[in-house]
Amino acid sequence: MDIESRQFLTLTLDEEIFAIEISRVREVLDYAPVTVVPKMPAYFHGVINLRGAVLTVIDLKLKFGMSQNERTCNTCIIIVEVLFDDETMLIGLLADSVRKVFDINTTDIEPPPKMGTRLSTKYIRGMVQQDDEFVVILNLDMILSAQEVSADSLSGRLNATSSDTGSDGLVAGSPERA
Amino acid sequence: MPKTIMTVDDSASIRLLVGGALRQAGYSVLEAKDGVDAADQLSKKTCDMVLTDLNMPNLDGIGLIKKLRTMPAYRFIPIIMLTTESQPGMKQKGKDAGATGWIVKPFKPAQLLAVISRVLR
Amino acid sequence: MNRLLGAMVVIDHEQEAMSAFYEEADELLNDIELTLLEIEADPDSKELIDKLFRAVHTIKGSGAMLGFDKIAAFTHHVESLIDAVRAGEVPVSKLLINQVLLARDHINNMMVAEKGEEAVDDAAEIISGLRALLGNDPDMLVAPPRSSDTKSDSGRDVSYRITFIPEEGIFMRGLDPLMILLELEDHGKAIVTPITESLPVLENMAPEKCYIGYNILLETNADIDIIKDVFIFVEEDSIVEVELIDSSLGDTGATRLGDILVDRGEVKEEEVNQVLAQDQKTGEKLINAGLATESQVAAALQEQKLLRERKKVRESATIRVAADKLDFLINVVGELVTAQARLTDTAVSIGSMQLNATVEEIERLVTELRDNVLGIRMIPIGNTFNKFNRLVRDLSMGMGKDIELVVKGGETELDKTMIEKIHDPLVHLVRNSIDHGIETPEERRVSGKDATGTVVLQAAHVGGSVMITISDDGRGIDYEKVARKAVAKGLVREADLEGMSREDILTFIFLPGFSTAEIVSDVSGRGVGMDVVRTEISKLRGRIEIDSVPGKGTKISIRLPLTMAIIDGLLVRAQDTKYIIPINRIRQCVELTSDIISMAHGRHILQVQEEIVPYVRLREIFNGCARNDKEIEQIIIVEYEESAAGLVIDQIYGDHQTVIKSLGKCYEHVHGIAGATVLGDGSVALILDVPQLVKSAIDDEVEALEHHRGRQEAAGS
Repeated sequence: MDIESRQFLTLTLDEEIFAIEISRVREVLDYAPVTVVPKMPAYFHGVINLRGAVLTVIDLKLKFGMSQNERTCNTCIIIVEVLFDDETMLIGLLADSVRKVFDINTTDIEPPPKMGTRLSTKYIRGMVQQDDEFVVILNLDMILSAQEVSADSLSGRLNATSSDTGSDGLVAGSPERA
Repeated sequence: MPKTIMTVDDSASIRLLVGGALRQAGYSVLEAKDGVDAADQLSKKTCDMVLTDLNMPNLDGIGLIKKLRTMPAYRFIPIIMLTTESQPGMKQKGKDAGATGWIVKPFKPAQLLAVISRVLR
Repeated sequence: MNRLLGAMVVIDHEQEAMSAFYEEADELLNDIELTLLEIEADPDSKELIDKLFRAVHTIKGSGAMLGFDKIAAFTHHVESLIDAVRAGEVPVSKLLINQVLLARDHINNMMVAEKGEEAVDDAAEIISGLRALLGNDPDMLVAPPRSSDTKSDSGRDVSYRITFIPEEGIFMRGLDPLMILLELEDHGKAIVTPITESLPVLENMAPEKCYIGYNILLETNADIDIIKDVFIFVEEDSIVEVELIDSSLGDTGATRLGDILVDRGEVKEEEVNQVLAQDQKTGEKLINAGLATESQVAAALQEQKLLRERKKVRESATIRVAADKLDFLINVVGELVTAQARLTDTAVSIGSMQLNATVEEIERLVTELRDNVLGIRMIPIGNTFNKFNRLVRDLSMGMGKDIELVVKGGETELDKTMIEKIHDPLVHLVRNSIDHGIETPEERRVSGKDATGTVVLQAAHVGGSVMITISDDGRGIDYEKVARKAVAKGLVREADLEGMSREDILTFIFLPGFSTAEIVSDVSGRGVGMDVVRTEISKLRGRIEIDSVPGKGTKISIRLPLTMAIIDGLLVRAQDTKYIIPINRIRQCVELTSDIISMAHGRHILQVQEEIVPYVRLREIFNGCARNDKEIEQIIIVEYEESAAGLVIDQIYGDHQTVIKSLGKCYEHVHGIAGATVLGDGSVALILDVPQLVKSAIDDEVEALEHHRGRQEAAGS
């Protein structure tokens, strides 16, 4: 059996370490302000301009149900290729930081455990141990599956952009509120 | 606001046919059975256009057109004559009297509506 | 509400008219008999002869109108004879009276036969008897009732040069030149240049006379006869000339103004040459030399422009370009537009005159480049639409149906690939209309419709999309049948059908294998289905909707995105987000002062020039936050359906032209956002889909009110 080794980029979300296959990664950008698109699930962080193209940025922590924290100078956006409804498209993933690129032997990759991770197993391709740490290898294509997006939108976990969320916002005819 | 068209014809069946087609197309319709009836109604109510047969008792089409053109409210409105090919000279007589245009009987309602939209928008 | 009533009153005016005709004819036939006998006693009475003529004339006229063609044709013979008597060409004789009485009897028999649907012999004898009295004049032939001419478009775009100089008294005949110009525009693109030389000075002008003539250049695919028809009521008394512009004029390079004027017959060649010796522009020189009028030159200039454009189109060789090379080019140009906007902003802040001049030049060049490059891929859908003429004709003939295809909005441009991909789905939908939608002429007459069915193919730019609609005035979709079929196929349970709306039932049509045609006709219903159509349209990131009224017709709407297009918009800000509102939707901008708000007593409406305009706050619906007391808000009044609505924003920046970027599939359900665009400073602004936005806000409000009312009722009860 051949030992296949592939390269993965590691990134951190909160304290946890994740990895993405390098062939999917296009580039890594410093954090830049996004434009929020209304009425989208909260993990749709917004859209950015990448050399003229408008790209969606996904907040992975929100998507995975992890706690939010402050952005630091290490916060970055990783531009990756994903499959959405039979089409490949580029999206940005919000990460707390990026780390090294590792070679990982495919034989070392273990299947995700049934329990013990907060993360739904559908997002996980597998796990590997690297220097005393557990690295979760992500299944990128599941992050933006069409059913999830529409389900999330309908369930009402929608974006409200600004800090001062006062009224219930969506009703145009409501009387003035202080 | 729907436009009002007056239909003048001594044949009741034509009035029903034409009136019905015009109403179906969204116009408001006034009906008269001859020139005298038409002039009388039009002195009390207004309309946006007149469709008139030529062969009628009491006051025929040509007479009606001439009369209407002397009434201030009707000097500039479109008046369409319903002619037949058996009376080719009538077209010119009508125009001399001040008619706007004509449509030859028999015609399909669709043709009538096309002619109307030619002069009334 | 009106539509509903109309559908219920199954238009029976035709039936009524027919019954009235039976009665009328009876009376008239009686009159004819009596009058004939009176004429026998008093043969010289003009009055009686006129009365007789009118009666016969009415039977013929009304009979023909109502479809009694045989009766009308026969009566025509009688009419011709009486006409000749009226004109003094034929004397009244006992023989004549007898013959006409016989004819009258025959007409009566025919009428009785019609009611009972029996056949009657064709009375050849009576006819020859009538004709004999006329002197057997071969010219007095039976003129069969006029049938409508079917005029069709020739399919190719040509240009006509039209001169229309209305007679001075045209208004006195109830005609308006404007109507004629508008009718010309229905047929294609018209460029109108007025001829103003006859305008007198104000003191001498009579307000009810027409002094202005028109030179018109019309680009259309209509036949010359159709165009000439437009002038049918005016051609005898006004000057009307319709000429096909010889396309070869452009070929030989003859797009020089002088040549065109010569071709139009307005100037002589020698005069042109004489005048060309000087240094000004040809047109000016000719005017100054009094050889041509300003109007003539203006019209000729338009023609020159037209010819030059045509020449360019024809002369240019074509090159095949790989689509992705073009995509790359378009992307780069898009980035260039953005970068140029940044450059302009920077230059403005630096404020150097020298720099500004160059930057302006660059702006101009980039705009030209952008327009040209984008134009490469966009072609008018008219070409595709026109191909359907043949399809409709062949299919309808094959099925024994009478169908007219109406094409609207052919100049709407779409991306080339999109046009190619939409072709097959459109074919399927049109075939559906013809096969399942439009009924046979007999069926249509029975339901009171015109025997000719109409299929309308229309394209238009709406918001940030292209809307293509296929509508027909056929039998509509049988919801019952669809529902039953769905149950039969196990797609839904009988019980679940209970609460379903029409829209819900229609969704079954899009399921694979669903076809309700009884006979899977060769034409449609096999292989391609609505599910395939929908998939194809989804691939283009479009949406398809069906709307159908049983008995009246079906309308299928396809909405496609413009993946790449330029939008001319107003850049505004609400809270922290920037938005672009398409300029063509904007009526005006008004400051939202506290007076306006207080006047409305808590409702979101304001009064603008006697119109009550409802408004929504973008920051409320999009950004989810309340009104900000610190900022002075602005309302942008936009057009919404037949009236207007207001969008309240915090700040207006100004005009902005940019490239639309599609946000992507995930954002399809967001109502009110058509796409995004990159601004000069690199940030992203959201492009508003105004109709969607307003409708969605209204829907939300209605829902909230109902919810509120529901709660009130629950609390109160």
